[in-house]
Amino acid sequence: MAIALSDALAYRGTFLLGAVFSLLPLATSLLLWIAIYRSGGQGLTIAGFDLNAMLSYYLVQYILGIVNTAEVEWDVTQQIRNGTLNTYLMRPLSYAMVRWDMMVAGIAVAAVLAVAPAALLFFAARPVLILPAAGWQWGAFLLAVVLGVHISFLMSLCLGWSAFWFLETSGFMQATFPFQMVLSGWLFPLELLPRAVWAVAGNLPWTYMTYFPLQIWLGRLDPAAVLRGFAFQAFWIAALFALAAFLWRRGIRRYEAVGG
Amino acid sequence: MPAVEVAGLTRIFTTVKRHGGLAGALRGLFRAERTEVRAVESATFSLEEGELVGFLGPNGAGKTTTLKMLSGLLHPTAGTARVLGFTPWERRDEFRRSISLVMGAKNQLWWDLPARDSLALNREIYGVPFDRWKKTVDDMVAMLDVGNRLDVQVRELSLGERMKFELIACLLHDPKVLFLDEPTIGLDVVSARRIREFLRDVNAKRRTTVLLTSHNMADIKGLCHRVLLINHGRIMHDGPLASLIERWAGTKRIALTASRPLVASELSPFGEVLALDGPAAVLCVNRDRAPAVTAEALAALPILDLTVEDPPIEDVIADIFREARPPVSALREQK
Repeated sequence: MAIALSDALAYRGTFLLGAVFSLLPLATSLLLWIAIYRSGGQGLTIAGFDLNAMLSYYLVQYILGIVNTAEVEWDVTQQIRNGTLNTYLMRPLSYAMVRWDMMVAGIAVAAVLAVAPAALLFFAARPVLILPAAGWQWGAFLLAVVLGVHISFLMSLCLGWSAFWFLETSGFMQATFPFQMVLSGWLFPLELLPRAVWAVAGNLPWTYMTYFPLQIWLGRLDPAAVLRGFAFQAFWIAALFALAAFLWRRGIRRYEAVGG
Repeated sequence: MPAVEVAGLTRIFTTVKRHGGLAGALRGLFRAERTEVRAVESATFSLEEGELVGFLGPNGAGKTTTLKMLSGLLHPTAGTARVLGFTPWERRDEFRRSISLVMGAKNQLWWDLPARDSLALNREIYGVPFDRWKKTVDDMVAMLDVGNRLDVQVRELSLGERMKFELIACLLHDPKVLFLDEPTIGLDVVSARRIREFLRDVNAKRRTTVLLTSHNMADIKGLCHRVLLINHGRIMHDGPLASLIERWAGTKRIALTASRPLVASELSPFGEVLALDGPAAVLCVNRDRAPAVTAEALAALPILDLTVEDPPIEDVIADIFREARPPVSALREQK
């Protein structure tokens, strides 16, 4: 863990770059929605979001985004393709655990680095920013974020393991990227999707990565719904864990251990 | 129980043939031509505890692939292997704690950190008690004379130093079996010799079973009690170096020095003239004819000095390896 931390610290430059560059899409979204709401007149709500809720949605999502910067699937694919996975295979370690360690270290560092910009941003956005009203919502939010991070971690692992089968996975990953952007609520709140689509998407793992925590933050879910959400998160973690274990077992047989 | 037991181990790689150029790349989109490479073909051998065995073969012979299977990195296509009673590719933790694989061409140390940190990390990973670890590392560092380089970032070390630290890092958990893939590749004569001494020492003192691959004859001659000759994935010889010459060298070299300059025509009746320089000459004769030729030459020529030698082992091995490549089979064309 210590080595993962020192490695992660070396990447604070990348963190800064990431944070700054994602400011642009954030600004775009905020400006767009302000324009939409303004044209709609006072008291407009879209899918239950008023202007402040919509803006808060993007602001909090931005912070979540810069904290969870793990590029797990890229690292994993690289290691499989050029054989650097060998070093890990030889040691009495679980590769998945090593990856998890690295992810936690990365997020820990990013979270610390993000405190200042987050405080600044929230302070600047005071007039519109919605904060969780009830105490339990803060706790639930944090728990949902942690579980959500694990869902996205497991999903990245699975995507990464696909390199055991496909030599060129970058095309595949780029193709799925837009889907992930939409399905995780990155572009716009998921409830804006057509009813039928939302009915399906609402059960998929992507919803439970950042969208579900955001809903808790904005106070849009009652305790029963929150508990249901946790159940979904737990289910997806278990399912993705099983899938990852399966892919690893199968994949490692095909591994060609190139190099040396 | 032997430390390493291999039976019928086979590994086939299936690769998609890629044609060059744009037309080839487009063609590759629609029809995938698969070729089969039989890297290791039915290898069978075993090593007792404490043996130091060399795997000799040209590039592409299957040495590294065999080592990768024995260390658990690769699954075989067929056959079985047991190392210390474990099946390597199940990669049990206890198995991984008892072996080590060192690849001369690939570094396992953390690039940006001093060597000392990598050694400490390995201690944690392998769970070696601090005192034992300290003693082992101190001994090895002294033996390899790298004490003053411990705090240098690995990326700044020379190849020889990196290799030495690599060895220490991979031996500090006292593995019972050590697999080495080209350990002296790219090293200067002095470093290579140091490493050979080190390995001999480790093998003698700690009874570590060592299987090393090399195409450097100095490694094989200097270290190995026994040699496994491998080519095209097949093991062609398994035994002490001396037996290799006996079995495969069909010829002997007769080096003679005469009291006057020699002429090719008077030498050729005795055998193939390999070298001729004034009064000195080297002849190549069939092994069984050597005694007779020696007697005839001594009788016919004014010889001052004559020695009968085995051909250099490198030549013997080169001859063994100079076989026609087996045809590579194209499995099928897929649309």
